[in-house]
Amino acid sequence: MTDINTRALDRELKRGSAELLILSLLDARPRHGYELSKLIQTRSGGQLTFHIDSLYPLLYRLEERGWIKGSWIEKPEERRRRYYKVTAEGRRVLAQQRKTWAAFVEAVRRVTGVEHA
Amino acid sequence: MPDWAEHVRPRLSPLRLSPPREAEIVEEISQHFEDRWRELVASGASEDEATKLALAEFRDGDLLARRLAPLRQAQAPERITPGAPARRLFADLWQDLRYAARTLRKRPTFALAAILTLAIGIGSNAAIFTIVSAILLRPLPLPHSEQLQALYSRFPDAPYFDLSGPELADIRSRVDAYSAVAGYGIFKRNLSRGQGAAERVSMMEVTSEFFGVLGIVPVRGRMFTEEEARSGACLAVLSENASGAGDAIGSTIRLDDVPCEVIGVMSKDVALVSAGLNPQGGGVRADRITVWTPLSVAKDLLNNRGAHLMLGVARLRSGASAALAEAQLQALREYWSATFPAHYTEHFAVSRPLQEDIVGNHRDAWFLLGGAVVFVLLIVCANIAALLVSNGEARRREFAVRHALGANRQRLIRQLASEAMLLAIAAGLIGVVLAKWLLTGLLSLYPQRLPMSHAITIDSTTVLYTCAVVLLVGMAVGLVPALQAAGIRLQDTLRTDSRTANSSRRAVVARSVLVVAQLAVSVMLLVGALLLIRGYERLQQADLGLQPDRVLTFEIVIPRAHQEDAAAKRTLETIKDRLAGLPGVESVGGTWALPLASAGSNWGFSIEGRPAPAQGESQANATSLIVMPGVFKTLRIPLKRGRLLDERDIAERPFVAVINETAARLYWTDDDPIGSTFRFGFRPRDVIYVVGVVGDVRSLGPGEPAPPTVYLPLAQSPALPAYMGRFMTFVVRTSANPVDLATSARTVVASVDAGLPLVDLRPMADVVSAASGQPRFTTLVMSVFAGAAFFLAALGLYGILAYSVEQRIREIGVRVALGASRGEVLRLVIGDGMRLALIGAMVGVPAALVVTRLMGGVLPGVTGADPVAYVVVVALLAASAFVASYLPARRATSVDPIVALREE
Repeated sequence: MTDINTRALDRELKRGSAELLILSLLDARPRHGYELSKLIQTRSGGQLTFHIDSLYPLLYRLEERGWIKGSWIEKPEERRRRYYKVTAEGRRVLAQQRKTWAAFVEAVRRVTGVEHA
Repeated sequence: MPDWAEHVRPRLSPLRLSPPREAEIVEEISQHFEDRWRELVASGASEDEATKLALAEFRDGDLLARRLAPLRQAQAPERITPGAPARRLFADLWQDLRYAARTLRKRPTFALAAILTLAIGIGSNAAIFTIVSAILLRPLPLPHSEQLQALYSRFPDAPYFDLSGPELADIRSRVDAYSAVAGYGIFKRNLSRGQGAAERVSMMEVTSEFFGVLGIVPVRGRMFTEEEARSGACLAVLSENASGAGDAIGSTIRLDDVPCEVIGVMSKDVALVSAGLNPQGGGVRADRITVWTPLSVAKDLLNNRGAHLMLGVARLRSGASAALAEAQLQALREYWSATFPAHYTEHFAVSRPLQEDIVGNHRDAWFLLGGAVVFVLLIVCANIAALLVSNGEARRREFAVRHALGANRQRLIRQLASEAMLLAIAAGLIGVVLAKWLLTGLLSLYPQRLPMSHAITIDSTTVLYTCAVVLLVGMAVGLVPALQAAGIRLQDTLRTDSRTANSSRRAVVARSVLVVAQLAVSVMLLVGALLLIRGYERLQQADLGLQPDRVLTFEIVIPRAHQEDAAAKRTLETIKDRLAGLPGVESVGGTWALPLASAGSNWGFSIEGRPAPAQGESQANATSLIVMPGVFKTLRIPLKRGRLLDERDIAERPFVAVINETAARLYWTDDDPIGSTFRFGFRPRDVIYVVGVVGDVRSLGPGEPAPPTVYLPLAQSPALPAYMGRFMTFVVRTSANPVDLATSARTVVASVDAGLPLVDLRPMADVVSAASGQPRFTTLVMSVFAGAAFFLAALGLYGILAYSVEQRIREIGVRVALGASRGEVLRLVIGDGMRLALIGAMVGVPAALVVTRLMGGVLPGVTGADPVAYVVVVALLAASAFVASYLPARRATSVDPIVALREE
């Protein structure tokens, strides 16, 4: 299952939907890498898994594009962690991608003919 | 818990991440593993199991690296290998420069000394260039200034003299290469407005064409028309920087108490440029012109062909060449000779470019100094190049190691060149600042006011020039060490002993060549400076024909509107009498034109009983000075024959004159002038008896011959034409310091007439000193440059000998061990030094002969063939070469053979 999921996810990465996931999760509040991977896994009901070697290169790419910004935050009694938050540019991209995604999902729904009950 | 970083780091190693970034990523991912691991352990997994499961997140070995590879942060720059083969021109250049900066930082003393030395060379070049460019290379700030020509009368003894009215009119009508011709004269007047105090200003009286010829218009108001100029009304155009020029139009100013209506305001640039006019003519030399008014010369004088009273300026018609104008002037000369054969025996009209006219007499001095600073720069470059050579020698092992580590030869050479360039750039930056100071210093030392001096500033031209100099200096300085590095057999260096004679021979040869070049150039400069010094000495020793010590001088000008002629004469006499009554005053006199300060006017005259001069013979004319009799006694001008002017020569007695020896020799030749009579061209009714002959006074300058001169008593002088004003420069001889007399002189003048200002109150010695200010300046600056150059060259000689002794310690040790005496060792080293000095002299002396031949124009009496200068310079060179070699030689004699042989 993992292999299939991984390959599927890789395709999604290429299509950009992985970016949408990360940006959506960070839109609510800043999070660190492990938290992001946990959230994706739990919220997708275990259907989506980000491995280290996919997650971090993706985060760094988004950071280089200026969509998110990582910074080291120290909390008392804890090791410092790198938290990421969405930049203004990132928010603009997120809004755009949400619209595109909604339109895509709607289109797929119509084509596949899943009717409302 | 395992050390996660150990697992992460190897996966990042294929990427060229910068170390800090790599550490960050390792930390972040390690934390991820840790979180995951803790979670697994918390959910019941054993530690080993948890570790295995966590690490399973790394799938294929290099997936992380592959995903990270496209990121920019994975593109960190390649590590620098100093001297690695060049790949990208600019990036490598930047790398070279940064590396050079680090190398130089490691040797701060060397770098500082080199930069400062170069900065002096570059800075002095930039300063002199700024002056040369501003006054000699740039066109005048007038439209189409290349079309402007200055017009003069040329007499055998006065190449650039005033024209007469009819002559200017002839040029206007007969030389049609000129589109317009104007006449002008420069005067000083007391300028006042309302009830305010008068101010002594320079002003120009001009014909109505003047502004048109120069191509300038007033910034406000208008100029006067030809009709207005002819009407005789006084209309004034004020300079913008005259006080109250802002709202002057329509108001009335007073020039020597004559009311004039202000009709226009002229830009201040024009005020400065016009002041540059008439640099050759005698009379008034102005810093800036404050007022322009129409030429106010009586009609009969203006129509008198013999009354040379104005200078001319003309504009070439567009398309007409200066050669055409010259040809037409030549035709005019022939017309004059044919039409007025009696008048034109010797003088004629000449023209020359206005630019040449204004800056011409400054050119030689500045070009000379320009040449000197270029040579100084050459020496500085040679010096620094030599320093870099020995540095390069000391760094042979460094180069060899770098070569072994993959550096290639071209790149090493480039790095050496970069070091030189960096030195030059740093020196250039300091040099520009230095140039600013130098410029201020030079200009304040310069005895005259330079024409266009308002344009002399460090501007983009200077900066551009400095950049070019920096580039050249960088290349020159870097060339020799780079060539030297190119010759090093790098592989051998590591194998062989760095102290072998062979390894340093190239460096010694390179430095020897540099030292010889320095010595040769400094010989040239020294010879030049010495010739100037000797020429200046001759000037100082020249017999001026007067004794300036303990004499105070000042000028009194009595405007016509202030007092009538007779009253003015009485005022001058009264001032003279009261001055004579002051305690400590030995004698008092007065003259129209103070020798060495003012040239006076030239009047033509004819000697009674002589036929009018035939064609080709000169018409007699002489500097004619109206004097108060005490002038001869006060200035100690000796009587040669006859008698001096005295109190008996009053208006009711026969008119008399005293002439100088030059006038007697020129015009009376074999006859005895005493008792003979002559008449001035413009005073044909008055017969004047020559009663005495006095000694010559070099009134035009210590290097100029005395002009023929006629002295006339004030008491017998006729009413002066209006344009001359009534003026007298008093000379007062005291038994003490003349400066102490200044206050009482002021009091005396105020007691006679409180409304008369004392102009140019100063000791006569200052006047004499100012007269040789120009050669003094040139000589001083040249000597400083030559001295600096010579010092650097001697330092260079010392440097190479000291270095070569260090290199030859073992050889010397062997010699001493084999029985060489102290004297022999001394001779060995000193002989080397003297040999270099000899070669330097052999190259430098012939070069100096050539160069100094060009210097004749700068100082009268300077010739290239002054054997004393050469002897002195060669002796100086020998002496300093001896000193420069003696110090290293002593070091050589102190070599202990045991120690020397044990080294290495």
